[in-house]
Amino acid sequence: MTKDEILAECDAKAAEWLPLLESYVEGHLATHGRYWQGLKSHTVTPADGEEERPDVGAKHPHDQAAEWPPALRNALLPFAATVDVYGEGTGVGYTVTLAVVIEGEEWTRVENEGPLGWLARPWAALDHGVLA
Amino acid sequence: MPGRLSLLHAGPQGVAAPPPASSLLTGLATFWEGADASGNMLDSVGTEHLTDVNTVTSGAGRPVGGTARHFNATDGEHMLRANDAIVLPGTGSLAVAAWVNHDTVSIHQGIAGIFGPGGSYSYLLYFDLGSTKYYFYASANGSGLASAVWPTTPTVSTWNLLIGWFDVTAGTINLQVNNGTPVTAAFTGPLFASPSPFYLGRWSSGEYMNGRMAGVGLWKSASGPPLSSTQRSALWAGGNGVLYPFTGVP
Repeated sequence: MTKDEILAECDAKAAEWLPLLESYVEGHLATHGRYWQGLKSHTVTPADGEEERPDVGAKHPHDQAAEWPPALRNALLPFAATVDVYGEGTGVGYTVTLAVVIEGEEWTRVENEGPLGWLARPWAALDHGVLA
Repeated sequence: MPGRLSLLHAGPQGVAAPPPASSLLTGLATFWEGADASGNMLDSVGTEHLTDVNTVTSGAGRPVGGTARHFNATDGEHMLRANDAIVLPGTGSLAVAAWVNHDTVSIHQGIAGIFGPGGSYSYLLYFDLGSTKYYFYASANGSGLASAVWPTTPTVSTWNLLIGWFDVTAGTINLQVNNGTPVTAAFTGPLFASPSPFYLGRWSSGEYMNGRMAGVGLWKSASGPPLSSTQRSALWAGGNGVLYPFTGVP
């Protein structure tokens, strides 16, 4: 598959999987007063369109008890996902970062829900190996 | 009662004049002390506040006192804000200073700057695992990089003052740690006006800070170094650091 085909496949999978994730993140706000933070779903970022099951297991941030729910972490995904939570007071929101490796290069796409709309961006290659 | 009237009109005789304002206020664009126990990291100079991501906590500050913000790399904790005229470099000189205290030096750690993703680099203070050294990176066109590398490996649980700066007049970038002799590299600016966010505790590709930070500031000047050697020594204060608004600091 070409890079564009792999990214399109990731977009298609995200279109069906992200609503489930967003429902869980926002449900956590209703029950715990803050959005749910999700550590990176995969230790090794899925590559070249191959679908992998998340191996995050029961890991969770030190200040949050809730881990990835089984319904989300049992899915086969062509990307890794990370949920970051930001802000305080009325300025809270979260981002979901999707990551996939294509021919050795990591690409990410960021979805934002909240006041910092500028955090959202389409697929872009990261710069691992650029420094030092 | 003539005596009482005399007292009322005595004026402020005997009251010591306030000390002159510190030279560290000159060119100071923003300063994040790290005194906030939680939540966003507030700007002491204006309203250039940083947004807390993933609940950055707080911890013991520098020898001068106060507190610091404590960044947990495993949890992806960091601060950010959209870039604007205050954190963007402009066409002149720029310095970024940060007190850092690592819990570990076993991972790459982005410290402070506007840097990436690809094609949109500007400036960055960074700890590199491979060489175990501090770097100050700069780019004039968003992709080409120059760097100044500090020769000494930091130790964990120790406060270090990092100052990286671009001197538009000298055509150099510089890195100084703990008031040592600055490391200098040639660099033709100005620094790139990147559209990327300003990050504290990571850079665009992640690589999160693991430890505490406090007393982070940006200084700018139209020409010459943004901070003189005298000012940098004042910021170091013998390893104790100084607290905003630098009262009593020359």
